[in-house]
Amino acid sequence: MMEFVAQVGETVTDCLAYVGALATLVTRASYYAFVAPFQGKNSRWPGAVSQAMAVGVRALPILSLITFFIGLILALQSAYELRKLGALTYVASAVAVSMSRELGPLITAILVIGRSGSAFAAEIGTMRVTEEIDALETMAIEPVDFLVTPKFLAMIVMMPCLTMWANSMGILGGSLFGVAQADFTWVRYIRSSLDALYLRDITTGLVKSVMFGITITAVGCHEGFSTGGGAEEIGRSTTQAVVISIFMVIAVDLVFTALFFFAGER
Amino acid sequence: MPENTKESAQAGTVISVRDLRVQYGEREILHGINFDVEHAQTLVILGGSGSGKSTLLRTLVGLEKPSAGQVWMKGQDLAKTSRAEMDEIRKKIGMSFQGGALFGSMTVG
Repeated sequence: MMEFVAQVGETVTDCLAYVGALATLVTRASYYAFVAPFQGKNSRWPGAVSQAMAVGVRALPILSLITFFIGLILALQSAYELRKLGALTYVASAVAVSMSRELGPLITAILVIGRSGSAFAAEIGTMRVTEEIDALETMAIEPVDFLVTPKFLAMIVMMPCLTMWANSMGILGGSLFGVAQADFTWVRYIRSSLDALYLRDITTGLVKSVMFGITITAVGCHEGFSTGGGAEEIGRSTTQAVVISIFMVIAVDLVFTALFFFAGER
Repeated sequence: MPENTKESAQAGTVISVRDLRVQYGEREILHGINFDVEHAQTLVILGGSGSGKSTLLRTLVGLEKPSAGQVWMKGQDLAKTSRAEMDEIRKKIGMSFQGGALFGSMTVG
């Protein structure tokens, strides 16, 4: 019994230490992103542009396809119950609100974890194994500033943009069902979707998307920096980055959803 | 600064190491290393695999923290330098890494 309690305690403290390490990394990246340029240090925005291309622009095709299908699936599943109530006209609002508040940010985050979170861990992990990070430090270049800050900036800009795109594609996917099966016209479906949305539905989704982006960057880069020696370790840290990112994104989603729920009650 | 190290610095010593010990966990890698490197002197360190050559070099440039002892670089105790001071020291050091570390993942410009 005591051993079990000790094991639980050790796990909890390890988790708290991990979250603390992520918070430290995010704080340092934020400093280099937003404070250091005003103190005479290099701005990392030029590097962030190329990262934004990789993180955001190149994800558009696959994101479009996935969220279009998600919207269509959502419409089908909503219609399954709504038609019993003769309320198929609410399919448009159900898809629009669900995508904007939850599924748009979450599906986007999961896709970005798979594409970019793993890539961050692999890139930095490889640099760790080949001593390139040590070489940067020896040249008086701060690795967090040089490697993490551009990714951090790219994520906080591109995640909301990708989420907005995902929301739009999801609504478009739902409209395919609406027009084919629920007696909507394209214009009426889109208008119904927009009428159902409040500003807070969109802003809560976008706020969550920024937090997801920060989480994905922090976990991916932290796992990269923590890579031990050898090719096997790079694989391990890349896998860890994906698994832990998914868990952390869900946890952050829970926190912010609850926050917005209780804040919205007042 | 210890007297013998101060005298060394006055004599043109660039690097001074006194009773340097480095540990990885429970295992001690460097067991009380002592040496000086003079200006324009070439020092060659030879040793078998795992004897601590890379660890010594990494400690001299501040990539590893010693568990005991002192490292002086141009009269500065590395244990007491700030990050900014360490960066200034590093700008005057060139290091070639075992695996190359040639930034193959990056582009020029």
